Amino acid sequence: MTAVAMTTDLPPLAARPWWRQWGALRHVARLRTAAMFAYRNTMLLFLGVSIVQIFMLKKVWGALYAARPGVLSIPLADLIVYLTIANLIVWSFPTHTVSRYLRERIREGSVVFDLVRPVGFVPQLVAQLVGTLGGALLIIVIALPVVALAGSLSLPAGAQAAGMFAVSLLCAYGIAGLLSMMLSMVAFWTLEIDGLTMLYVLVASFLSGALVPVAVFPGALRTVVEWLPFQATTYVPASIYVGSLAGSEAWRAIGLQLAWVVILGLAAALMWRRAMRRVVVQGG
Amino acid sequence: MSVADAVATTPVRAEAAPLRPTVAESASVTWALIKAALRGAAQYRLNFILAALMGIAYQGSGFAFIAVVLSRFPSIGGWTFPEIAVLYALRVLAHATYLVPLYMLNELDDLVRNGTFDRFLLRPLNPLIQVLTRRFSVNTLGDVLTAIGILIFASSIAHLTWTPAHILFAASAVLGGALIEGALAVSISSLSFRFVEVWPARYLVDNVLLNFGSYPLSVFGFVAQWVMTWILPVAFIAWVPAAVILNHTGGLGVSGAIAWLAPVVGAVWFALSYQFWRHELKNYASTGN
Amino acid sequence: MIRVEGLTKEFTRPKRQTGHLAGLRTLVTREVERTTAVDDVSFDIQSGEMVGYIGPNGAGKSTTIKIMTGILVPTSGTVEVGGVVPWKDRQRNALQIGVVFGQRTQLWWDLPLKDSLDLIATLYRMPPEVYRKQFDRFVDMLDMAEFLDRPVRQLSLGQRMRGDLAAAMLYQPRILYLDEPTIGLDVVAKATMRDFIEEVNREHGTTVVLTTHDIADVERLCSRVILIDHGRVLYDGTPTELKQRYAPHRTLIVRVAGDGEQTDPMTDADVAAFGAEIVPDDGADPDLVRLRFEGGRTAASDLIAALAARYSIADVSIVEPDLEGVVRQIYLRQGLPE
Repeated sequence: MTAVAMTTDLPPLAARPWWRQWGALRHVARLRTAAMFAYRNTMLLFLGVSIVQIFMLKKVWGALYAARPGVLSIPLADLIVYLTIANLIVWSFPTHTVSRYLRERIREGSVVFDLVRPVGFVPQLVAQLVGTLGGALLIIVIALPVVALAGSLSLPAGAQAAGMFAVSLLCAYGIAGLLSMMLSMVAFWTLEIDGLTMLYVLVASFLSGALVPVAVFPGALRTVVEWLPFQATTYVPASIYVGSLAGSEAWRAIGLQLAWVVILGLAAALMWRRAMRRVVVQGG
Repeated sequence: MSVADAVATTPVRAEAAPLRPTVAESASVTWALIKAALRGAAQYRLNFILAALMGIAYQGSGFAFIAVVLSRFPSIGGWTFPEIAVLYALRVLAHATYLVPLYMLNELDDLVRNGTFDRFLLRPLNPLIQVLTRRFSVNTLGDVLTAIGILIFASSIAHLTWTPAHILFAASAVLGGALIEGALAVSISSLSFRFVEVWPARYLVDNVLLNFGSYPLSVFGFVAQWVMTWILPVAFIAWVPAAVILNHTGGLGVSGAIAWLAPVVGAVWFALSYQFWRHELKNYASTGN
Repeated sequence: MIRVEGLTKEFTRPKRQTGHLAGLRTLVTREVERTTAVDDVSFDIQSGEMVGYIGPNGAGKSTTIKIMTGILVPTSGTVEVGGVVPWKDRQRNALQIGVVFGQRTQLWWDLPLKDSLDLIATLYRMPPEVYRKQFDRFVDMLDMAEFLDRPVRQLSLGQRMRGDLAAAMLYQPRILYLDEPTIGLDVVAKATMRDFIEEVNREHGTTVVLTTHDIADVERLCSRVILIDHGRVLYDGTPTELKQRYAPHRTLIVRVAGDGEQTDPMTDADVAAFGAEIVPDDGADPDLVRLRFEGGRTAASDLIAALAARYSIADVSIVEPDLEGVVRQIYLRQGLPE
């Protein structure tokens, strides 16, 4: 991929402290958006899949509400918006991109430089994520009418909701990015990474609340879902957007998101260290 | 071996070109290729667990959703959980029945792109059969397991009685559904001869079938229901046959008796898709790669 | 056996658009790019001939072979192979041809080599006794016994090519097409393959069409050479005639006996009298002189005798015109020298 080649043409960013790398990082982000354009077919395909799923969810949930209204406190119209937003968020997660990026670094051997200065690697990765998101946003804006038709869109439930949504979304991307990174790192231990990625995407999106709001999960399953990080990637920001999570409850949820970022960040760093040790031992 | 021996055992060559292979000959050759593909796959036993998990996750994910929501709501479109379970079971069964023989179509993209497909035009056997028997993928067994599992579960909670008539009916419905899905797969894969990347289209269609085919189509509104009955016969894959088995034929939009026609509908569609395949193959030969 | 007449193949591709929405516009554009890969090619190949079909990269060789084997349908012209039109009757044509692609194997990747050969035998409906005899014979000729049980993916290139060759000839097809069969092979493997091809041609009268960049293969095996460039046939005849017509020169390398000093250096004027001319070299070795002469007009023996009479000769050797040199010239010139 030309874009990746361009990325490795840059001087080793790890040499400078990260707050000085701003210009180069912006450049990387822009390159990544360009790379997204090359991946756009895949992104469009998955967007198509998401749109089909959103439509299906709208109809099925409509039927469910018709069968017994009042199970959920949230009105149907809001639920549909929630589902639409949630599925869009899931679609925009750069799971496949992060996975591919990491694998390319490994294959090129440039990951060896990252071994020495992991701090240099992370800002670069973040820049990549930002770039990916830029591309995703562009596509969403263009596809908005179709999305609105398949599901339902409306403005956020107020200015405060909009603000909290932005914060929550950022945390959500952080969590999702870390989870993707950890998933890709599994590639150091096994070859079956493509299959695992697909499996992960399915399980994660189900447990994240993109199909079923957390409140609907029965009994023990609900407890499990609440304690996993997946709902922090989708359920929390989408609920804030629609207003079903508001005020202090919303702030608490965002706090939990931040907690997850820290926990997963540490876990990822640990995994990284173990992985690098394995790479060195094996001779890459 | 002496030269004399070699000469003696060399068959005298007839002057005319050999005759076209007969159907019987092609059938026995196909069987030999299938056996070879199974033998080749036996080496990859380790992948089986992951493949099984993936099949279960992918095909079963829709079922988890249904199970969760129907634990809190009574029905979808008037269909209760046991009924939807039966519908879902028929769909995954049809899907698995289609997938096991036709899975290799997913690789047609690659075969055409790196020129391997040319070799199939040089052998005295239908190239489509050669694509399908090239190798066997253990991935498909995951789908089979899921289908059997869900069928057993659905059968028990719906208290189905399996009389010979019921079995025959279900079998014919599954066959019809498999043929319909197969027809879609063959048609879209044929586009590999014309376009470089066809797998996104395949994936999208698979997803539509997964998402829509598992529910009573009346839920999706009149237009969608009509399109998916008469234009893209998704309804015949699972919904109509399930309705007949469960005696829940209200709201189908068609008479339940038509469900018996599922295999016929499937066969017609499959024949059409094969014609399309032949047409696209002709196009490939004219443009090369 | 093979009749090709007025064969033409044009490829039309939608013209690649640039600029905004390039991808989408390429999809819907009506502008086309037309390339003529094969341009009015005609030749007849008799049963039992061994023909070398050569040309520079992009000349149209592969396209012609693909049409002859039935993979591609031509734009115009006729092809008849053993009385069959290849692209109209693929399966019937398949039974009478064997094809080896140097860069792609036809063997089953995951199975032992023996299994592949068994499958080929089944595919081509070989009677078991015939298969067994052929099998033993080929294993012997191509020395495959030690790796018969190994999966094809574990074979070296040379071993795999031998397997492919055996697979192509196993059912004794009347025609054998070889597309770059010796590419990447070491000298020993190449020799084995050449011997094998020669043998089947001799014993069974198999017609052989060989496409290759290794001119030595052609020189060694082929009684006929068809040279193609830019889709057109430039030459169709024997290799000897090709050399005689376009590179009639032989080279005589003379080592003059001397003590390092040229007492009486050879000049062009001197040697011209004997029908030769000096080939200029870098002068690294002042005692070594290269003389070019036309084999048809001047006899080597006469030339040597004449030189020996005039100069003190320590050693001579003769370099024959090589087909490769001739062909290289034609490729470079992109046409025949007049």
